[in-house]
Amino acid sequence: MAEEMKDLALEVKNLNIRFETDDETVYAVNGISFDLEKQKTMALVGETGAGKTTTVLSLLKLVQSPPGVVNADTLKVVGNDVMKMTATELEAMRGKDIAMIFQDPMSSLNPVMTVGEQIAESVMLHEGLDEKAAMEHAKEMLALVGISGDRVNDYPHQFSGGMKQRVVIAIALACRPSILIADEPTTALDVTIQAQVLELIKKLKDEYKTSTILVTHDLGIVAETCDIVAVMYAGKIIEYGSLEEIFNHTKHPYTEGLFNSLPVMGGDRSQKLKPIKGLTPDPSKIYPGCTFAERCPYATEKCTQGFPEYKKFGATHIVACSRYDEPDFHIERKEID
Amino acid sequence: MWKYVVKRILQLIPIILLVSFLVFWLMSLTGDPVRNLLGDQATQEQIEAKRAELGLDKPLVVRYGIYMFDLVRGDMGEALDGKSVSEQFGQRFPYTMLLCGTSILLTVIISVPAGIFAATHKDSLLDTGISVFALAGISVPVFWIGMLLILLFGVKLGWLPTSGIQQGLAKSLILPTVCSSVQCLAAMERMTRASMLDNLNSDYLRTARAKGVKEKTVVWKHALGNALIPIITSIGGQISLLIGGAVSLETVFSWPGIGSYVVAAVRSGDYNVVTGSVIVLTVVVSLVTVAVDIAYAFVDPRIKAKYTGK
Ligand SMILES: Nc1ncnc2c1ncn2[C@@H]1O[C@H](COP(=O)(O)OP(=O)(O)OP(=O)(O)O)[C@@H](O)[C@H]1O
Ligand SMILES: [Mg+2]
Repeated sequence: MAEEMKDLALEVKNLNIRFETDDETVYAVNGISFDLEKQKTMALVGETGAGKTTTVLSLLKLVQSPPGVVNADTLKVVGNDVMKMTATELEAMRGKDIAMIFQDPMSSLNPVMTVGEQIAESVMLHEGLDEKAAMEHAKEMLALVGISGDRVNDYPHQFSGGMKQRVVIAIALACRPSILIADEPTTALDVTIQAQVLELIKKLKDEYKTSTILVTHDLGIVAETCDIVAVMYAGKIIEYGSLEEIFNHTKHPYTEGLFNSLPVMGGDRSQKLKPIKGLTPDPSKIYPGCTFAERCPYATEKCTQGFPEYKKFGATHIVACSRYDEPDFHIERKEID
Repeated sequence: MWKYVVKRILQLIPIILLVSFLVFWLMSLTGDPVRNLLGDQATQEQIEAKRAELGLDKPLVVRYGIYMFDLVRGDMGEALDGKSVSEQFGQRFPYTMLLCGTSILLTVIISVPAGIFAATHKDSLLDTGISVFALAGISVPVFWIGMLLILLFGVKLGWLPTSGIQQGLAKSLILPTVCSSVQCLAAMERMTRASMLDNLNSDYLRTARAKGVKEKTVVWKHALGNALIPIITSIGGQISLLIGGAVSLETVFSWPGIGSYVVAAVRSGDYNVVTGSVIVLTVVVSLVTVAVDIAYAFVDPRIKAKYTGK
């Protein structure tokens, strides 16, 4: 029965990641499971510190270790178990099967190598091109992300922040990876460039048939680019479903909070923004109940006892909230059909 | 780039003038060269006459001017024994440079890989082992290491010459080179390790790894490429230290370089030898500093951009 013949790009079961430092242990990811079908785009949303970057880094086995400790029942990238790969297999996988656009473009480029060399490097490794051909390819990649190919021999410090981000994108896309992980690819950019970059990622998805995980805390971007949404809170996925399910049939109080903290385009201006009250939980503590209970307007006594079980709603819609044990519980946000 | 190099060298001139004047002035305070020359029995007239003959009756600044003018033309005056200082200096200088060269070479060849290894295997048994050795190397005085080496390899085992260069240059180089390298080795290993550690967990190394770059390339190309600046600084510093350290080292091994020449000259109060040697060595150390600055531009495009205005 496990052989549902779905073509999976990613298969993650019970992923746990903690950071063990001298003075404390940080539980960054606590039992995450999800699948990503081929050619689909999944959004990973959540507040800062939710464990988004840590989760996606583990897919490339790039969680810094020590202090990081990664455990998972399954962690498969295009069918191969990352946890069991040798160093050589990992190197062959990275950049080719799965590539990553990193969060901080300012520090993600090697300052003493030209951008051309940095793009060409992975092409030479994975496609076996010689240096000249790889540099030609690097020029094409630069043009693809909207930078003149003449600039291959420039160094990162000669580019603006937005252009650096595009170089980071060009590096990730250089070998046409089957899976693209984009960790907040637009946070460092101003709005017009944000739109261009997103457009680019969408275009590549159509052209190269990539499967994508888009990490962001911008729900507007999610609505525009993603098929599936996973909402993370304190190292757990607390709601998961199709774009339609999450946006129109929001179930989890935290997800509702995320929507309420957004300004609504063309909406009632007099309505005030309602940011989620309280602070994100201390990741070095283990909470017995729902981690969101402290901040949840719907929380009851029961919520602090045992993490809620996942309940299934729509075809793919999964929610972790104990209040739904009560048959007529619903949140304030209206469902849209 | 060339403009920058020339500019840096021209900037040295005032520094060298200042330092050489200080040396010249301090030397003039240390004693009367004429008394050394003529001995205690000389009469006042004899002394006055000799002074006039040597031009020592002129004011300090004038004497300095004359001295520097001669020095630039390669004339460092006469030593007490009447030999030309320039000639002696010219014969000895290559030996000092040779010893510095082999020492720095040995240091870099061993300490840079050791530092990289220690950084990539942080907290392993070998890293700790290397740290202990490095700490010992930094703390132990050079002359003591020299004595030990001489006793062990020279006296006890009789494998290597311990003094001078009579038994062949290559063989004679070994002990002084090892001896002077020990401290540099330790200091540079520490430096390399720290600098590599700074880089090994940086974001751009993660980018490199995410591309599928082999760990070896990640370490030796990406990390080392960025760790080089402090390492080069450290190499420059070690060369200056080696030149300074030549004084004691060359004495221990009777090495026929500038160091032992200067020590002997200080003992006998040989005014011209000391002044000339110290000034020339100062110039050499200054040139090393400039060379280090120029080397930066080759390893870091950001620094190069600053100089070339690109
Ligand atoms: N190398 C590390 N050492 C120790 N703790 C770490 C390390 N990397 C991440 N953490 C911790 O793990 C938790 C999750 O961090 P992560 O970077 O995954 O969050 P994030 O969801 O990506 O946040 P953001 O939106 O700010 O990027 C945080 O509490 C963070 O402090
Ligand atoms: Mg992050």
